[in-house]
Amino acid sequence: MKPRIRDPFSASLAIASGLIVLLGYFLDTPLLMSIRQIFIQWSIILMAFALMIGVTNLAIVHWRKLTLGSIGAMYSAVILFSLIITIGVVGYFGPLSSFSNQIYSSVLLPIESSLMAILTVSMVYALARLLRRKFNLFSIIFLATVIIVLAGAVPLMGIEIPGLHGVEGLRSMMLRLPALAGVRGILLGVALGSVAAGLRVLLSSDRPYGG
Amino acid sequence: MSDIRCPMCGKTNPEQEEICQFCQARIKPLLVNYDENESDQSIKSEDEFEATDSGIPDWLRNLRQDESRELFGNEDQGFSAEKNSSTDFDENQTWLSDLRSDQRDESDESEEYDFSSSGEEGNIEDDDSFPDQEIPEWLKNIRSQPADSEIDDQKFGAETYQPPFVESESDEVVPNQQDHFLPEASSFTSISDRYEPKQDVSDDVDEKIDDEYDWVSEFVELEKENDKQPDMQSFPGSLEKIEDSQEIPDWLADLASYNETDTPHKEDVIPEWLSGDQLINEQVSEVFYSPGNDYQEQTPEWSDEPLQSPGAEESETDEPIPEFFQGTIPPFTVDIENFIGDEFPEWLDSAPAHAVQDIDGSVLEDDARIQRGDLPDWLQAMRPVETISSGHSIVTEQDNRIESAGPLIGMQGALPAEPDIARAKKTPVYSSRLQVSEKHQLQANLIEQIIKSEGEPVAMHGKPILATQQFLRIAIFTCLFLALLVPMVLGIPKAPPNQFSPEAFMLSRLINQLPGNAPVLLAVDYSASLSGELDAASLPVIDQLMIKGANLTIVSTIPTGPMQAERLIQLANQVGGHKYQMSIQYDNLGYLPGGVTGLLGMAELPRQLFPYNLLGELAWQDSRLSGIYRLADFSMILVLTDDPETARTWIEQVQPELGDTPLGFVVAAQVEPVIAPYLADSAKQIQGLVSGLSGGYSYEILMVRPGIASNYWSSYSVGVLVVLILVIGISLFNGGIQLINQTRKMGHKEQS
Amino acid sequence: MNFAELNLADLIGAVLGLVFTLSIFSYILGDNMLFRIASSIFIGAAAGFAVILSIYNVLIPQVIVPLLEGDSSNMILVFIPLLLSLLLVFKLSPKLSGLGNPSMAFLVGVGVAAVIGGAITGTIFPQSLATIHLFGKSSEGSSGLGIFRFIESSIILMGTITTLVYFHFSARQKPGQYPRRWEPIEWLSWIGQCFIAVTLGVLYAGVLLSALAALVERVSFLWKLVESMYMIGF
Repeated sequence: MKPRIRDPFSASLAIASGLIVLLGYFLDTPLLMSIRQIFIQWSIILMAFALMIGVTNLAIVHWRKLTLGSIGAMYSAVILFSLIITIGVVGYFGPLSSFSNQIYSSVLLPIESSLMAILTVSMVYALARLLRRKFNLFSIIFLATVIIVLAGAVPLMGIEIPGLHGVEGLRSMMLRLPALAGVRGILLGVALGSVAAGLRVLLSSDRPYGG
Repeated sequence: MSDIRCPMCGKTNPEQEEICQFCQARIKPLLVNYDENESDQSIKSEDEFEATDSGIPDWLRNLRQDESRELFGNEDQGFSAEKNSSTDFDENQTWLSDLRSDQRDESDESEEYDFSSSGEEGNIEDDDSFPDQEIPEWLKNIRSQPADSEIDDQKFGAETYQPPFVESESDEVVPNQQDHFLPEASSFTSISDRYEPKQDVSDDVDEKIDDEYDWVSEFVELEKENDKQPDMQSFPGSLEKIEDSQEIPDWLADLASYNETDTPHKEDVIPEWLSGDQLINEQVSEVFYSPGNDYQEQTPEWSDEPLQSPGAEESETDEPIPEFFQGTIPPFTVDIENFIGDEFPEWLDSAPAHAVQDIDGSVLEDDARIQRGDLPDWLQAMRPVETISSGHSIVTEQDNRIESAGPLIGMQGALPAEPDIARAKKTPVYSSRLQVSEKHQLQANLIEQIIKSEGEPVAMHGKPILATQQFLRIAIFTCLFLALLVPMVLGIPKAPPNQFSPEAFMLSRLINQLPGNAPVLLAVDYSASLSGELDAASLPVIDQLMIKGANLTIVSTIPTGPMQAERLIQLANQVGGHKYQMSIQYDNLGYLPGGVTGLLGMAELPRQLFPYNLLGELAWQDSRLSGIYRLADFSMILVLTDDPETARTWIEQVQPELGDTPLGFVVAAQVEPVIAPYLADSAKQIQGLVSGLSGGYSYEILMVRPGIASNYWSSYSVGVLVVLILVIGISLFNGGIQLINQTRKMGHKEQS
Repeated sequence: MNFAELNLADLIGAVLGLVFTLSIFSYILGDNMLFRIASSIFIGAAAGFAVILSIYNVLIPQVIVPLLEGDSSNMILVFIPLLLSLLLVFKLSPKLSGLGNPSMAFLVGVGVAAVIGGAITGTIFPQSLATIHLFGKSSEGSSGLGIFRFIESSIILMGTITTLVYFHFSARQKPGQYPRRWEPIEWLSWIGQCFIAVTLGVLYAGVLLSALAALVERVSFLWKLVESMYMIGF
């Protein structure tokens, strides 16, 4: 079996850049801060290039599908057509031109907002069938919470129910106590997990960059 | 080294083995080695005797040694004038008697069985020399043979002598009427049919031979007729009878050149294949027994013992056991106590003593005349079922078959040995069908059907036009659409908003506290998907900022953010009546890639990251932004976002760098729970929050400047109510069904 | 929106909006070609906007302009990211993708450090201190009696701890038994599960309200369009 050749240069580059940026959070030396800012700037440039490379890859994939006549080649053609038109119009007239705004207002906005709108139907349907799929204590708690929050979001038939609506109502209390505690726990857990994952990368235990 | 094949199980064994390693059957027959070349030779010396006995058990070796000593050292023994021929019998009688004497402690070893006097003396069982428990089974079987069978004199005649191993059409197979476990027992019956006792067997012997020992009488008559001179030509040397048979074994053909004129000598005459078979040996010795020999002197003592048969009924026969029959050891001898000396095979020693049972299951009493032998377990397991369960004579057709080749020629009921194995025959074709029970067959059929059905296409049922799920989704959409449309069409009065939230009030207060033309960073980080909600929620806030105259600096961390920001400003201008223009009242710096890194960079070096605005103008040259070097230099930062992660990233990366600069959020309803911990009094990482359409409507009410949120509020409130009704109604219905199902399951469980 | 006041471009835009809205709404009846075409147009347009904005906001001002107008001393500050960016292009090729590893490593290193720093300074420390301060002196703006505040603080503290305990999945496996956590951990985890159920319920309700608002906006758009068309006599 061919041994996997690791890339020490990439690993050392990742560790060095990461340590410099991380130390900048705790140390306030001019040299360190300068280097840190340069690294941040370079990473932003690289991010922009990465985004463009991603779009290029998208175009290549759909071009292949179109030329090979694969299933869904028509939709690939539509994607490529809209991409080219958008780049041409927005690139030529500028991002703030009326044409660009027209493309955004007439194409992107209706489609995206409509996609979000039909999500309402799916969410109501899923919520209604929740008890049919899972009938346990946690499902009941979940459903009851949703109903309370929805009911407390707006006055029902123009009437505010005292125990439900208002700052001291059930909805506010639910948001203030159990929901806040749960979210805080989740945020702390996510933060701790992010720290652990990041340290693994900085210690070269994990190499997601292909080294 | 060539291997030999067991005649019973057919498996190969080493050449030197006498007993099969697998089934414990005797491979090599117990006969004195007959060598044609040695036909003229005298009896082997004692050493020669011993040399040839390398593979035989010790008890046999001892016997032969005694025999050789007797032959060489004791010339007075033996029979009559024909010493050569008589010495055979004499020797046989001697070693057999010695064999018996080794087994019996009480009996007189010198006493020999008087075959001739056995009939006069009465029942053999009365003879002390043969205690009942020592008589082998095969011998008992001989006693139990019917007396009707007569020995064919012609078979013993000079011209008509036919060895037992030669098949003859005239052979009559006499079925053994008694229950014989050992088929060999019946062979003795058949042998008895063929052989006549020696001629000079006394008349007493003849009288004592009853129907069960007719074959003995045959020998006797034959001896009388042939003047105790066996016609060698009738024995294996002669092929006259053999030639009549259909198949002549090779070993028999070798004997064809035997000199018929020679005096039959035990070692000369008896072929090699016969040397291991004591039965044949004795028969031969009987055949060549010369008249005048004293049977009485030469009959072995053990022959006085009554024969024992495991399945035989009590036999009251008094017939003596023929001498030539006494020394024979069948292949499967159960009770070999009398023949084996001190050296018991291990398997025989370990054989447990079982209760002696008859074939029909009845336990034989100890005082039964015919005692049953104790079969070892492995031998019992090998018993054919028919033999055990039939309750009748176990003599089958196979038992009635007379052996036509091999050392057991002429014997009836012998298990097929070499001839069958050596004979090239067609491989039997066995049925490939498994013997399975009905239940197994049903299960096998079921599995076969299941496997077959896997490859078969399942008939697709007609797809309904509208599935239940799809119908429900259409119904929900229709209800919602109508619920939202009707208030717009009918113009239903707007419902009052929620109680103004303190967080929104705080944000409003913060904006009110801003100085004029205060630089405010406006981060438009929401996509077009929730532009409806956030436009409605952020417009009153932006409207207030515009009223305050704040200089807005717009940034975005999503690609479509700048366009959304432009649209928002235009909307605010339209709704609020403002005239905010690019590069005058606000700057749109554009898109900042990088996510977390971009925000970190913007927090520390916004000028380097946004040197130009979207119009390509230098952004930081203007007086509005001349004093801005870091985000903390802004008067306020307002983030408009619909993504919880974006909100958290702004708080984590930017808020620590802000210091006293307030940070406010206008978020969608889905983001509010996530940033609530940052908004709490104990944390105070966010100073103001407007959440969702309800927050925007409340803000509009607070500002007393109706906007988009006010237009949406009626439909929004009705829509929320309809959603509640749908969710509660369908959930109750589904919950009730689940409760009923669970109740039924519980009931079934209790019943079962 | 008034159809009469719309120019041609706006009219075309309005009609396109109507078409795209109805195309997306047709998904209620099932997946169809109109829905897929509309989705494909959206993907292409969004990608196009991303590319242009990246060029306008990053490539031109931070790479091209400094290269054209920058000092030689600043050249290296531009050349290195440009070199790294060019190496990143090799990620498009499966065979030469290894050449882009240094660029990816640099991006990952800086991003990871930013995440760690932000998590520590923006969430872990402040939120932990906030949990501790729940039992401290009453801050400005808090209301209610002390005992109720203590109870609320206790509930928040218990919810935070039990929620964190729920995500502790280390268990010891005994021979012949299914891996199971320590019994007190199991009980705390069960309580945390209740808090998480409430939290997820609140989040779900928020998403539902946001989606409903989007539906309201779309219905409003359609109604106004129809109303305008009706008013101008279509």
